[in-house]
Amino acid sequence: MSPLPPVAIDFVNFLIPAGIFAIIALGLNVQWGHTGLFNAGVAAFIGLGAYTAAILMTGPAPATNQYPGHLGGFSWPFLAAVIVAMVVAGVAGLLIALPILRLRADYFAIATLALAETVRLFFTNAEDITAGTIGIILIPRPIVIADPGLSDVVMAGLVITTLFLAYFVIQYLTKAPWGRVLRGIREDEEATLALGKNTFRFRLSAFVVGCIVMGLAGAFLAAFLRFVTPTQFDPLSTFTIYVMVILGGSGNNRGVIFGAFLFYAFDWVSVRVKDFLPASLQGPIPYVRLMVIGALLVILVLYRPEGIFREKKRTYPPVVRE
Amino acid sequence: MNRDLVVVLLVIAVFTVAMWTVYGVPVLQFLINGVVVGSIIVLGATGLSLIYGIRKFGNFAHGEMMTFGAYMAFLISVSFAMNIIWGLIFGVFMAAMLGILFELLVFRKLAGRGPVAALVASIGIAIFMNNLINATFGTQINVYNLQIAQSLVLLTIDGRPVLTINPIKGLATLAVSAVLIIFLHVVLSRTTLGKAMRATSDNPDLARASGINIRNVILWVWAISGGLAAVAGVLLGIVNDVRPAMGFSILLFVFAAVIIGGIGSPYGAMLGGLIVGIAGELSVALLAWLGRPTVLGLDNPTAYRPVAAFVIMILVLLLRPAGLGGRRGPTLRTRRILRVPRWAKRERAQ
Repeated sequence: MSPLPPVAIDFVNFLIPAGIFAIIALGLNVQWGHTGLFNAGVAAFIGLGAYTAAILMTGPAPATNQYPGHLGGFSWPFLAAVIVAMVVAGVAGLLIALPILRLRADYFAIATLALAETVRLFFTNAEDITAGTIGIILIPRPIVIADPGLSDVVMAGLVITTLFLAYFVIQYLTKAPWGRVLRGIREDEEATLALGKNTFRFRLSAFVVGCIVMGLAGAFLAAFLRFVTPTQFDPLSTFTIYVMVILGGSGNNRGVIFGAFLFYAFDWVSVRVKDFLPASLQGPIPYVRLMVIGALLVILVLYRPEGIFREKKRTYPPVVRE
Repeated sequence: MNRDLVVVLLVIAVFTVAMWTVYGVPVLQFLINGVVVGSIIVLGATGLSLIYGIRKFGNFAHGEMMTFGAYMAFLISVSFAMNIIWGLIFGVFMAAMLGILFELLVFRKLAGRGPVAALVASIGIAIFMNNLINATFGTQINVYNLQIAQSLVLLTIDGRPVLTINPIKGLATLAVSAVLIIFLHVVLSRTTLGKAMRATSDNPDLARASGINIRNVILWVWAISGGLAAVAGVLLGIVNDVRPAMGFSILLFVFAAVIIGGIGSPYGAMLGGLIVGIAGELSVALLAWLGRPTVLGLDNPTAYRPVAAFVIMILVLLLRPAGLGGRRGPTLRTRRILRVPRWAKRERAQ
């Protein structure tokens, strides 16, 4: 019996996923919000982080003939697994970006989506490594404590600390000259090029930084859910992150964190509201929830593309043209 | 015939011959399957390409238009127990209306906001439509109320059928696609509407200045695109089955076909669709032969079928960014020359 009241457990179980989504949204904000790179393969990078962490952290697979088993049995500590997950996601981002980063935004989106689907095909079919559609199970918590409630609280603390760390690092980076060049690229790549900036290198570094952050969040996601399957990393999850970023305000780091929490709160409520409805209405609720996501995306793009928190305008006195 | 095309056809030919040495005659079965799948992709791709040409964005809701058309036909075919032909007609009509609705409600308001805003909106529409279908029709796998005839045997070796084609799933699909492509060609090249469509796609300002009502032309393009998507959806429903994810699962192939053929070029999209279909099936042949290393799941030859299309798409994007049949290129480098400077645009707006 856990010493914590059920409300606290509920709250902690809200805080962890919301915090993880906020970290992913921060990573995407570097790519999309600041640099204007439409990465439609977010799910693949989260998935790479999650699978890497899952493979490294799990102990030997249970010896039943129902479970096919996977590459693993390393029982690494969480910190080491997180670092490797970040490296794997970053390297994958680098390899994927190098050939296709030159493409214009909409082509880049299609190419990244195709590559993300390829990664997901790999998760689904490379059964020796990933246990196929069944996925990797029995992933331990970051800090293993006998009491499940307490170990959730510790994990929530860890996620929120990481979120703050990620926020400060990304806020620092995007306020620094590096971030200024990124916004220059987003607004007018030719002008930035004309100022002598190697825009390709800046785009590449922004993409890789974003992917590393997504890999980090993926490792946390694996440790939170305690299992990973290929269907968690479908294109829909990518677009959910986009809703969070656009809702909060692309380009505003605090805004996207707020967007992630607000959106996850909606998600949380929509899952819970099911229990209070008559049985006849319960069936379509998950679809109605997703319909709201889709409609929200359209409405935001149409009527409030800057999101709830507008990106802070950093204006300088204009050059007067005669 | 340009050089790229010759290279592509040569690659396919060499590949087929190489597989022939492994499999013998049955490799032709892969080609037949590839052409049938390709002809469905062609129908989706020409519609997507028309929208890309006239609205300048990638419409991610195109797959959902296919699914919608397929489900409308399902409604007529199963719920009302009528002939699938009526279902097809109803599906085409409803999907055309849906396309017009998209334009009126969303994309007209996003004109001039760049390709990404419209792309994000189309993703939102795709999620919305997909789950509307999930909620109304359920997620189960359906089939049309249709008698599928016995496959025709084209060739037998030692009394075993080696090459087969199904009269409904294969021949009828090919025939419908061919008729529609000829129809589209006639519309584009012989009618006033087609000329107006091409003019609007090339240069909307100039088209408007010459007295073309481009708003109406764009609505027509949406209707044609939706109608073609519905036919593709119904054919896909006949060849495979009807399920909510059918549209999105083929969407990336359709995009690959559009990109291979060159954005905004419906003729290129036809070529691209066939290339995607054949390449996918040939890759199955290749993987079935390579299937010894079981590490990546290569022992399941159809598992990685989409990858062939993606690889070709990315190669085309890198080597021939304008596609094998288009003119405009998607990379920043080619755009740089054509782009109007920002200050000039601002002055023009004032």
